[in-house]
Amino acid sequence: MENIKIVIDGKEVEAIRDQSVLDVARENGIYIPALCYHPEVEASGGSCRVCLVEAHQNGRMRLVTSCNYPAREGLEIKTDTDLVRRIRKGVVELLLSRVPDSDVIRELATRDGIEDTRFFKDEGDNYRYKCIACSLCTLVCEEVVGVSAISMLNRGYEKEPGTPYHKASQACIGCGACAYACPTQAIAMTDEGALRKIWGREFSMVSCSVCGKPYIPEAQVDWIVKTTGKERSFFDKCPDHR
Amino acid sequence: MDRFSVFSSRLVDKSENFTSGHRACQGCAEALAVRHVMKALGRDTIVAMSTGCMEIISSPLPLTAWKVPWIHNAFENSAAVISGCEAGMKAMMRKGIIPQKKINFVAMGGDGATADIGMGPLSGALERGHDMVYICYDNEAYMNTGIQRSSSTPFGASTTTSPAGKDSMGQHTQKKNMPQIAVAHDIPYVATACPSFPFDLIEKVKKAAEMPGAAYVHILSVCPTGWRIQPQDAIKYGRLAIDSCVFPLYEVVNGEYRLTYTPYRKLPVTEYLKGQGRFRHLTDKEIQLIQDKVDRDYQKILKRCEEGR
Repeated sequence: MENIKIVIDGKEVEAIRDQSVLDVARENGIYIPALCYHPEVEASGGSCRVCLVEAHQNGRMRLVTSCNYPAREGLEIKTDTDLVRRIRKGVVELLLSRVPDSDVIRELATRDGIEDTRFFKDEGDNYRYKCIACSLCTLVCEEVVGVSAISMLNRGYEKEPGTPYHKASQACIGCGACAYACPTQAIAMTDEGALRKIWGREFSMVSCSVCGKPYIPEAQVDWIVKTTGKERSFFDKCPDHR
Repeated sequence: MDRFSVFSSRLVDKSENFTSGHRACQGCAEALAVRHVMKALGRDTIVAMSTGCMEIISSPLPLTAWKVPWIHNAFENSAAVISGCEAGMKAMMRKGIIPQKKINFVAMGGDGATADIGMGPLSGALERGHDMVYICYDNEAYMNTGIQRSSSTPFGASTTTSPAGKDSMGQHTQKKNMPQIAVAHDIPYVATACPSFPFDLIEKVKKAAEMPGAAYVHILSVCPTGWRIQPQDAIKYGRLAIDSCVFPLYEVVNGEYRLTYTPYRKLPVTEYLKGQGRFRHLTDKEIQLIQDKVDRDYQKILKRCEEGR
């Protein structure tokens, strides 16, 4: 932990060495849009390209993704230059081309004054609804939950997150952390009575022995018991009746 | 959003803009609600807060629990003050005195400040359509001054100014329906929330802040002191209030209703009333009256949600 000073938009701010520039900017109230980055997920960031900034260092300037660019002494960041705005416009328009129906991307576009994309709109056969293939869901599954039930499938244009071969995954525990983390709310999770559906698999839920309310998927109980050694009987009752 | 648990909660923002060390009672769900609200709003926020529990506990001179600009107001004028802040900042941004930026303007008040004393300024602020959020923390009485009744106190509750006894059965008027009054202003966003459903609450406050124009969020905050329950039961009673449909969770986006949580099994109100000291004097007849009223109100909400579909 080494405290250093960097300059963001002409303002000198304090940072910890190797802290991400986006984190430093957010702590100091400087707005940089970002989609795929989550401060609690270490490997996240660097794929949506929305958080591009100018990094001036050692007399050179580079466009970098602020979410995974380390803060170092002498670094100067500019977040609101013509170049950044122009490149970001292209990035957002490309995102808009991939997911024309996403509210989040639309809002981002409006904020940058973009009305519509110049590019082809992904509709019809290749329609992917809202997913921008940022892989945050797969990282959450791996890092936060620890099951790695989903991963990025295919390459290039057809890249998308999913369970292996799009079959119902036996590793998935139905916790829904991926659906919660998704920046564009692209992952569908439905609860109907004692059934939860996510990633093409149906999960039966454990019901509380007192009130009968289904509150946690059985697979999730198995996982928690396996990883923490908590007694299974603990999950017989919902948090209200323990 | 209530479906998320265990692993998702690790992904909630860890920064605290309403810090610990304040002087709320044990088990205060209202302080918890403020904490979640501030997590949702983030640091670019200006808060105007009416006098009330949360103001008393969070700012005993020279200390403060707030990490954001925070203004203490009299009971009635937090909505007026925040609309002034919003107009002022907008003008300064237009003139280039401060850089263009998205700032959340938030007024907060208890149920007394909202439903009784600050009703006029609130109505004015909602009608003028400032880009602000008004958040009402409803603990159903004036708790910090010693549990006096407010117009938000539910039928039958015993408070120090509506005491239960031989000649009285506690509060004898119905609770004022503040969310509906806010809906009647035709504002873009109105929602009800409860800290017992934290993901739902955070989601709604975020939505309210993002929507251009005025938004109103009504948060049921269980008060163990005033409701005469054990501090450890505060979260449970929040859930019971929602599962028994006493306080349905819904949101109204541009006039369209949506129920955000449907109880798995609708509980009878006795489940909710039982165990609360403020309701313990109620007879079966009075409980039946409450049940009828709850059913009627819930049907109304359901009907409005269906119409919107």
